[in-house]
Amino acid sequence: MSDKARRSIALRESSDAGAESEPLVLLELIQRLKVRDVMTRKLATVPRSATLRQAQMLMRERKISGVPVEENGRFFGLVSVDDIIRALVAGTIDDPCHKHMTTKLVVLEDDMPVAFALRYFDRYHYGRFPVLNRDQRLVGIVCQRDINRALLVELTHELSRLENVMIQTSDADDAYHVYVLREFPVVKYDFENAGKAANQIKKVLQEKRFSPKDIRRIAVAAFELEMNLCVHSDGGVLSWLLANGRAEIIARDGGPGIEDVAWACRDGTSTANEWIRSMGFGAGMGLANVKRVADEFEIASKKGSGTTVKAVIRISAPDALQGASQQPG
Amino acid sequence: MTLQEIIDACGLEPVHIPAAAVEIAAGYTSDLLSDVMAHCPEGAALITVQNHVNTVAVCTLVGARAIVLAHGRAVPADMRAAAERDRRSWRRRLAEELGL
Repeated sequence: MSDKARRSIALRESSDAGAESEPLVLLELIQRLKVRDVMTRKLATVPRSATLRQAQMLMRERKISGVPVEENGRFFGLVSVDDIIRALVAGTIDDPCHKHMTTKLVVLEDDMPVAFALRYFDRYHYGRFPVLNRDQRLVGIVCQRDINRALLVELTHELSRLENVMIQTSDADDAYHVYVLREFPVVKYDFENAGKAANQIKKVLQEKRFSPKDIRRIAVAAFELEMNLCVHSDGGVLSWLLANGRAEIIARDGGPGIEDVAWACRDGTSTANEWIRSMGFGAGMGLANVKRVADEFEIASKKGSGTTVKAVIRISAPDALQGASQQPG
Repeated sequence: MTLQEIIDACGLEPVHIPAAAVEIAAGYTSDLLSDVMAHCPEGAALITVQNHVNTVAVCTLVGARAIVLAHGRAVPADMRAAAERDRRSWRRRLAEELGL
């Protein structure tokens, strides 16, 4: 296993160590930090017409192992040490870069979370990834050293902040009139943790022995709203209130807002991009699913500010109160 | 039909099988996780190409008991870890139900 792979697995293991409540500091950090926060912006690049020898000299000067081929922000490919060695063997070192550069490349987008980048390092074993922005312009390059450096800096800040924070949780519990209020922060593109809020809600409902049917409706609403925050918003909070036979789930975010709410609620419509769709999200069923399971549904959104979605599900008394037993789900 | 019987009948490659004797009530196939959320029956085996942690989260939520990855897709380490975590919490719940 490469050092890189070991390092990122070590990250994961340390995040798993705390079991249920997971030490969120590191997890949150690698989700909150975007690739653009850690990448190198000052790029040494060459135009397509530069020779491989020029690329090689630049690499030696800058002590880097790959140089992007770029013209006015447009990204064409990458010349790596491998390409140089191959050119030296074949005697093509004085050819222009575009003839021998690597063009089949895995790239990152600048607004992906660092967690995503770490997974890419794991999966592809490349030393670096070019970073493109939404307009497909080359804006940076990221190697694992960039990430480590940024994480160390952020961890130091985070630790001193955490020393000043106390977390309190309390639940008043009175059978059917249970009162639970929970809030879960949801980070944009944090696919690794997406779904955890819904699962925790489900666990509490199971402990309190509500009917599997009600639990499923609430879980569907919570999961879809949580995923919406993760996929479509710049991040937000999923809050959950359970009181007097009503489960209220509210997703609030700070942007970017929905242009056409009616359109967004329709089954099969979505603004999700391709890599989100490739993970099985963004099929445009989310809000329609929430509406289907909810007894009350409200959505308010303003383009440029944010969105609030509220779903209320009325639930029957828990099985415990009805004297029935329940299978573990 | 038990999970083990399905594995044998279909020639599936076992990856993480905490309980092969578990009863599989139905099969459901979809690559859209919202569709799985909406329609996958409880106790089902989900057949999908979505080889990532969110598939495990969705299956836990809907009570699907097994995930079958199609087209020989590999199981990433984090997906496997998520499945193991969910199994732990399932066992703990069962223990609580039985008053252990």
